[in-house]
Amino acid sequence: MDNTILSKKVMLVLGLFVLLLIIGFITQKKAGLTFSMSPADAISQMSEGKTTISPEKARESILKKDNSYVFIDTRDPYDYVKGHIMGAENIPLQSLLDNNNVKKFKSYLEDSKLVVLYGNDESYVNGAVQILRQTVFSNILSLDRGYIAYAGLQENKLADSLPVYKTETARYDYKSYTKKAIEPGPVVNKDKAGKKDVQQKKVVPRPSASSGEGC
Amino acid sequence: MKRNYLITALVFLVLAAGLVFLKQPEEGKEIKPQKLFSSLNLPNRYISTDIVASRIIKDDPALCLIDVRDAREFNDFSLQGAINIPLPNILDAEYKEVLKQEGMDFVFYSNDDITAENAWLIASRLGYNNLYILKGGLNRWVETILNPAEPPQTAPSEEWTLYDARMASKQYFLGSNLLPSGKEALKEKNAPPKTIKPVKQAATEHSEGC
Repeated sequence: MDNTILSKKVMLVLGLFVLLLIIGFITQKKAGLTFSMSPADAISQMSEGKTTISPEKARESILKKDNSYVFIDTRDPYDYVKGHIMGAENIPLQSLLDNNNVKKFKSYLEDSKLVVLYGNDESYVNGAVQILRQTVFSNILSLDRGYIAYAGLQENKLADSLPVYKTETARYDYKSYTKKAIEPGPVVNKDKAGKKDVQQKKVVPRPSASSGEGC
Repeated sequence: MKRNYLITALVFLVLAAGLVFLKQPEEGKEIKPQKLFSSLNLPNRYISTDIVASRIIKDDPALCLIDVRDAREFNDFSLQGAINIPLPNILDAEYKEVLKQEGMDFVFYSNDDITAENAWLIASRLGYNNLYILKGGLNRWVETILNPAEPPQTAPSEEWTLYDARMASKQYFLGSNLLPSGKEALKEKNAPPKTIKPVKQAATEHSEGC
């Protein structure tokens, strides 16, 4: 008699255990965002520079009051308070994938807004932007050269205080730093974006020191 | 009665076996956006030029430098021992085996660190591990290793120690005949650049890493 009751209890506990596991399986599948873009497509858009807008374009959209852009400052609140793009919201980087923010992004997507995430520089937001773009949010962009460049444009600063080089420009003539170089090349400025009367702001490699020393 | 216990035991065994096949994110299996996003916070996914320089000098066999720029840029200049996997080609079959190697640290680099980070993102999404990004890329490599800037006179001694180390690295990579001369030597403080014990020729390819 004891045995029957005992084994019934065991079966009950077992049943509960299995039930818990099943519930666990079901709820697990529903979690969060998923990638909807293939890695190959992600690479294409990265390589074609489609994931970023220039500070000039951003400035233009603010001056023209272009409502199709939404700017989001991903820096911490202290930096935001010191100065931000007019009308930008402050959503610190770490909290971008919080539920309430994901909901916001979904509503911007539905309203066909272009959402521009920015930090002090582009590399601050690049990771977040690329990840979000590979999920359902194809309308998210980063700000090339970041807030530093935008703020400089806003204040009409002289170009030598701005990061005028587009991201991923070679700022130095690397070839001149190899022993194979026949002569150290002059400083190359490739792909300068920004004002025409730009001054070079970078450290000039000292060609005089290395020329004639068998570089 | 005994049969019930047997059934119970069997069910538990089956469930336990099921647990074995759950969960484990195998290498090479894609991860979810939330997990990839969280990994952006990892402090050591960026690796400094100083550390990479010292690992190159020590001929660290676990270091695999991957240049993600195009072939032309790679041929013009690349880091010693680096291989070239342009970002658009990172999914190609011929490079698949590279990232699967165990015991290697893969450091992506480009001119800055955006393209390198993009390569890091794709490879991380695909489930690969031990991936790093060279902070500041080749631009920073020039600024810190090939042409380090002298600290101001008032700088603390740690900065001078770092500067000395960088000048020593510079000698390694550019050859000893590029010791600072003329007015640069005059500006030098009491700390002349250290000479390195194995005086290697720069720019000779040791067997291509990875």
